[in-house]
Amino acid sequence: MNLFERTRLLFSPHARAERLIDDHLDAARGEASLPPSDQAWLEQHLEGCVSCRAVRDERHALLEAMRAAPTERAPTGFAGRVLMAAKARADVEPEVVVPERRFGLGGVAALAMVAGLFVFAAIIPTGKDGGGGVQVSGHATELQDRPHFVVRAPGVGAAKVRAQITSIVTAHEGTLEAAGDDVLVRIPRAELIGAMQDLAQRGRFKVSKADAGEIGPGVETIVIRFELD
Amino acid sequence: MVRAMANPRPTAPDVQRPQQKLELAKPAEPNGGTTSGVEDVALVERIAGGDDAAFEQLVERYQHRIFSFCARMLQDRQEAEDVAQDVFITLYKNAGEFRGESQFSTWLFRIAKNQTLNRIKYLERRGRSKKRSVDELADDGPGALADPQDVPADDRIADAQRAALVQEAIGTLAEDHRAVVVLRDMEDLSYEEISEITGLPIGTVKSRIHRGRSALARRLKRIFG
Repeated sequence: MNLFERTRLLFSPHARAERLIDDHLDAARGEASLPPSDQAWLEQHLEGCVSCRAVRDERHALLEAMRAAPTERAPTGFAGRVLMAAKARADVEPEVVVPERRFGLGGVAALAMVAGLFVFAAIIPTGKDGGGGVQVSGHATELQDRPHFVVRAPGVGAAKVRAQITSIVTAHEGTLEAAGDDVLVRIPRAELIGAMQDLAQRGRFKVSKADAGEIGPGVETIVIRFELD
Repeated sequence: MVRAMANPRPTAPDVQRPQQKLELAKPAEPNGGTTSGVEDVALVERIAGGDDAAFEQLVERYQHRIFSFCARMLQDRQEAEDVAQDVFITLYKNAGEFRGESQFSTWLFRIAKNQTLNRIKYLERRGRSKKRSVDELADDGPGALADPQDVPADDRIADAQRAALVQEAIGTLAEDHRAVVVLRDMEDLSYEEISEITGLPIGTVKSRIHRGRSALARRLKRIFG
């Protein structure tokens, strides 16, 4: 369809009718009514136009279906988790932390993250077979090691995150490796909790779901994928 | 929820009566319709003063609307939970910046809109923009959706299928069209409120709603045609 045809359609009576149908339906839901001249024109057009009457009926049914669509409900316990996360997040950001309370709230943040790790470790299902790829938050990755955790630091610059995790990971005998925009960290299992506590006290790190598989007793090295903004 | 109960089945409009009224129920106000803008503002002021109980109250009041908006924008409940959490954390941190120049709900939806669009871009950059099939949405089961009580079983199935198809079609819209259509036709916000949330002139909002609906109608013609 060339520009001329598109323009002609845009100003066709049917296109005008379709726009007015929307306005008319919205007027029934609290918006301004159609001007009388438009209302009269629309009525007259609909009387003689089968296709625009069909458009009106379809649009009416569509809007009803959308308004009748049930609200997606937040998961159970969402409000409580938000409160916990808000307090933890406020703690690890120096500008909103009262200095004398920082250590105590830092402990809360660390505990929240560590508790999260234990939850993930407990709920992640048995590993999937074959391929070497794993499912993380529903998306295939090509990690050789599995299972692994995913950590994000939304709103924190990549350079800042790299600096923070480099100092922490090396202090916990871990290694870092660039993987595209991300950083892969391999850390001894015994150091995992300590490293996460340090991360929780320094930055806005969020542990994401890792449903790659179970961390069995034989796994000595844990892989953490840091997704940088 | 209340909308579905008040208006469980779409009815065919009378083709001879262009003056027809839709007679659609207004959506329930959060928390059972007991809230008001004044109460919201009072709660925000308390949050700014460090009152965590006020924060929890406001989260409980708006959690489903914000989560639902995020889920409809992102088409992924896990991502939606993550973003909705960030929305409320932003509220927690920035409550003192709310000046009451707009409704609190508008302010909160503006945060939600910005964060969902940011997340969509983030996921697209990573090639992880996830769209769910109709089958996957249906697999969520009744626990993932609002309470469909008082609707006969057969109608519930039809409504669930229709809702899943509509949701899938919404996910195919461009983000800027998706946002305004969801805000207008699912959250029942006015042109003016959407204009405040998006920062777009009302004429642009109307135009995007119209184009979004037209695209949806084309994609769903086999259902509503």
